[in-house]
Amino acid sequence: MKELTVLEQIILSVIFNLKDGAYGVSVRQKVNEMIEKKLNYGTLYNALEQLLRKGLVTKTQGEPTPDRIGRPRIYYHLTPAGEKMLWKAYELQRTIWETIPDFVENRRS
Amino acid sequence: MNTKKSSNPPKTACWILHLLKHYEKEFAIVGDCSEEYKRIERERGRLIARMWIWGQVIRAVPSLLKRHVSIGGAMFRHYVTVGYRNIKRQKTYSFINIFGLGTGLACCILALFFIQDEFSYDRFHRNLDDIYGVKVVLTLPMGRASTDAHYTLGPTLADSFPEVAAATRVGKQNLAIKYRNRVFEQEGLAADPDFFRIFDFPLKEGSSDTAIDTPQSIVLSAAMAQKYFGKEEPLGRIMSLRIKDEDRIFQVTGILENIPSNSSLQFDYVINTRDVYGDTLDETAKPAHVALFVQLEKGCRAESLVGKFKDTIDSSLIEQWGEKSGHELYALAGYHLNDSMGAHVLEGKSNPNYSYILGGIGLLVLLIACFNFMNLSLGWASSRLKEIGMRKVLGARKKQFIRQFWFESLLINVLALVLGLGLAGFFIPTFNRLSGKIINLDPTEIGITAGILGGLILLVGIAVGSYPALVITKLPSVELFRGKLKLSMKNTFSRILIVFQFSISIFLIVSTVFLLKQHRFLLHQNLGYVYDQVLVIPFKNVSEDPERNKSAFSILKKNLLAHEGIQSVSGAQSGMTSYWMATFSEDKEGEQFISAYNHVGHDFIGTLGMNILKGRDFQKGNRSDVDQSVIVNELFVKKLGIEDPIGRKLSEFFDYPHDRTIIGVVQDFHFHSLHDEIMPAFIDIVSGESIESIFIKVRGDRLPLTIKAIRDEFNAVASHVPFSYTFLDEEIGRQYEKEERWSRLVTFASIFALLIACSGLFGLSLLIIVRRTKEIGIRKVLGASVSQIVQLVSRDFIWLILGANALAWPASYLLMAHILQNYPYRIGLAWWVFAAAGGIALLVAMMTIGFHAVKAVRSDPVQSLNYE
Repeated sequence: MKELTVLEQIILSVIFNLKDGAYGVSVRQKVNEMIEKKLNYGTLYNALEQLLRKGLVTKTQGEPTPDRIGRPRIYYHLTPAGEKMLWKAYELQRTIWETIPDFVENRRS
Repeated sequence: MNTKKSSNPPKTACWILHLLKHYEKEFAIVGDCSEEYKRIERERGRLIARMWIWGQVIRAVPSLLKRHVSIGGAMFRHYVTVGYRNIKRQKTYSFINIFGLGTGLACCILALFFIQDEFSYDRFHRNLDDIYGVKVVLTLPMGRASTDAHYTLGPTLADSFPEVAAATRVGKQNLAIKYRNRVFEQEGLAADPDFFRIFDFPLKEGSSDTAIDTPQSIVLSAAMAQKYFGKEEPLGRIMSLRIKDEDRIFQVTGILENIPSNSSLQFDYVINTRDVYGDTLDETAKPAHVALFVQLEKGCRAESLVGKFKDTIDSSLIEQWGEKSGHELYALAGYHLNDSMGAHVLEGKSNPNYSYILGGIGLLVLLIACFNFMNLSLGWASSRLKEIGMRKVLGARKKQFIRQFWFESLLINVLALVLGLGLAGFFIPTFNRLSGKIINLDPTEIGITAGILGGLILLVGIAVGSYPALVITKLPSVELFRGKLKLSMKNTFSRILIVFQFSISIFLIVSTVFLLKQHRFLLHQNLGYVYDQVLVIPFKNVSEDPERNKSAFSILKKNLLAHEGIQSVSGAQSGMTSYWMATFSEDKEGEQFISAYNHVGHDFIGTLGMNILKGRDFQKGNRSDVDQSVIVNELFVKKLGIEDPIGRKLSEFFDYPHDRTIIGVVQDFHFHSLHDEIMPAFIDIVSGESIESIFIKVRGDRLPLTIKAIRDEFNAVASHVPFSYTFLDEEIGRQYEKEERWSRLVTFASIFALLIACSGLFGLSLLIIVRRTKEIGIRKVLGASVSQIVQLVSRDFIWLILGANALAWPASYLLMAHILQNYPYRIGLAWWVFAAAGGIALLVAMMTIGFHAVKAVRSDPVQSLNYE
C-alpha cells in the first residue's frame, strides 16, 4: 500500500489518542493543536473519506445532540490495518532520522 | 454570561455544505460545523461565529469539489472538444443560435437594467426606510383629496413627537440666479437644515451639517457650479437670487456630489426655507407646494405616529372636514413605483407595469431564440446521428447523453451571453434615448445582475439542451446508423414551437402598430384650438406682485404688436399644457362636479384660434369685461343644463368667490392632455391675478428675426429674468413622450423578434431542403416547375404561420383593448392591422424559405442527384 501522507499520519494518531471520542470537531481541534496551519472541515473530511476508503478507519454513528441540528456525531476508530500503517509510518520515520543522527544533533543544539 | 438564546447557523451555509458532501450520507460535516458554530457564538458572539462558518464554507468548497472534478474531468474535456468541433462544423446553425440567443439575452439584459433602475429609486438614502412624507388628507364631497401639510407644521413636529428624529420642509423654487453677467433660471429647493441629515446628498465641498444653517447660504450642484463659475473656485462666491421682486445676496457654502438619476428629488441648489418664506408663522399665508418630510426614530412605526396625530394636530382638520380627515404619512421607499400619495417636489412616479411589460418583452424575444435552438439542435443532431449511434453502442447511458447535450447547449449559451453583453453594451446609449433613462450601473447591483444572468443562462441551457437529448435517446441505435431519420418538422413539438414563435412575433407587430397609431392619433387629434406657430414664454418670475406683473405684460404686449411678424399676443395664468385650477359646482340635479378655470388676458380666444359659438369674446374697451364677465365652454352649459346661457350669472349655479356674468360660449377645447377628458371650464379676466405664460401667434416667415425682436422687447421690460421660449406644438408633443417612447421600444423588440424567428425558419428550411435534395432533383427531372417545388417545401410552413395568427390575434386584441382603455380618446382596433401583421409575418417567412427553395430548384439536378 502507498505510504501515508503527513496529514493522514497526524489524523490517524489523533484518532488513536482520542480513543472513543474521535469525531469531526475533536479531531479538527487536536489536529490544529499539533500543526500551525488551520485545517478546515473540507480538507479534514476529504482526508477522512480517503482513510475510510483505504480501510484504515471505520466509523460508527453516535447520538444526535441538539447542538448539531439533528445530525449524529460520527465517531472514527482505527482498524488493525490502520494501526499497521501508522506503525509502518513510524518505522519509516525512525529509519529516516536514524540514518542522519549528526544532522538531528546539530539542529537540536 | 450571555443570556441570549443561541441561534442555528445560517441555513444557506449548511445547505452549501450539504450539497458538496453528497457522498457522505450522514452529513456529519454539517453537524460538526453547527456544533462548533454554537460554541463560538457562546464564547465570542454571533458575528464572529457567522464569519467563522462562512470561512469554513468558502474554504471547504475547493477541497470538496476536487473529488467531483477529478472523476468528471476526463469526460468534461471530451465534451469541450466535441462541442467545439460541432460548433465549428455547423457554421450556419451555430451562427443562428448564437446570434439569436445573444440578441434575446441582450434584450433581457437591457430590460433587466431598466427594471433594476426603476426599483433602485431613492435606495441611496441610508435611512430610506425611516423617511416619510407628511400629507393632509381631506374628505371632500368628490372623494378623498390630499394636499401638502401646512408650512408651519414643519419645525414643530420634531419637538412635539419623540418618534420624529428630524423634519424638513422642502419647497420647489424656480428662481432667476445671477453671478456677474450670467443669469439663468434654475430649479432648486428651499429646505430646513435637517434636509441633509435626513437625505443622503453628500457634499463634495463644504460641510453638510452647517451648509444651510446660516441665512443667505446656497449649496450648488456640481453642474450648476460649473455653469456659473467654470474653472473658478465656487466656494465662498456671492450670487444674487431674485426672490419676491428683489435681488438678494447668497454665499456659496457647499457643492453637491452628482445627484443620482434614480433620485425622486432632483434639484440644482438648496437654500434655507427662511430665506424664501420668511420666519413668519402666519397661519393664513401658505406657500404653495411645500412638502414636509420626517425621519422617524429607528424602530418607530408610521401607523403609531399617525394614531397620535388624531388627537393633536388633526383636531382642527377633523372639525372642519370630518372624521376621516387628518395627517397621514407615506413612505419615500417605494414612492417611485407605488400608487401612493406624493408631493409636488418629488419627481413623477412610474408605473411598475412598464417594468413588467419590458421584462416580458425581453423574455418573449429570448423565448423565440430558445425555440430556434431547440428546433435547430434537433436538425443538427440528425447530422451527427452516427456519432450518437456510436456512443450508444459503446454503452453511453441516457444520463450521459443528457449531460453532453446540456454541456453543448451551455457552451453555445455562454458564447451567446458574451455576444449579448457586447450587444447590450453597444445599445445602451440607444436604449437610454428610447427609454428616457440614464442607466448607470450601480456596483452593488452588479452581483445581482450577474446572478440573474447566470441563472438565466443555466436555465435556458439546461431546458433547451434536454429536449434533443431526450428525443435522441429514445431512438433505436440501428436507426441511428442508417441516418435516415427525419427529426424535425415531422415532429409535432417542433411545429408547436414554430407556431409559438410566429404568434409572438405577430403579437408584437400588432402591438407596435397600434401603439404607433395611438401616438399619432394623440398628436394629430383636433384639440379645438390652433397651436401652430404659437410661442409660449414663461412670465412667472417677472414679479410676484400681480399689479406689476400685469403692467409689465401690457407694455410688452403693446410693444410686441408693433412688429409685423407678430399676429397676436395674449397670456394666461395656467398654460395650455399644465393643469388648470379647479372648483366644485353643482349641476341641475344637485350632483357635484368639478369645473376648471383659468385667468387669461385679452385676445386669448383669438390668439389660440378658438371658436365662439354664442355670445362674444372679451372686448378691450369694455370695462365690465374685467372682473365681471366669464366665457364658458360647451360642456359647462350642457352640464348645468342652461337653456340660454348668455347674461346668466355664475352665482346662480355655484359658489365662486367672485360674481361673473356669462358673455360667451366657446367650443370645447382640450386644455389638458388627451389623457384626460374635457371638463366643464370657464375663463375670465381678473385684474388681481398674474399672467404666468404669454402666448404669441407669429407669422411663418422670418421666424428668427421675430424671435430676436421678442427677446429684445422682453429684456426691455424684464431684464432681471432670463428669456426662454418654446413652441406650443412642441409642448403638446411632449405630453405624449411616454407613448412615443414605448411605441419605439416595442417597435425595436418586434423587429428583433421577427428577425430571430425568421433566422430560425431559415435554418430549419435549409435543413429540410438539404434532406430533400434528391427528391427535388427527381421532381425536376420529371418536369416539376419552380413554383410547384417552392410550394412543396413551403406548404407546411404556411399552415403553421396561419395557425400562429389564430393564436396571436385574440391575444393582441385583448391586450391592446386593455391598454387603450386608459385613454378617453383612442383609436379603434382596425381589423386590417391584424391582417397586415399576419401578412407581414407570412411574407417574411415565405421569403426566407423561398430563398433556399429557389436556390435548390435552380441548381443542376445532376448535382443534386449526386448528393451523398
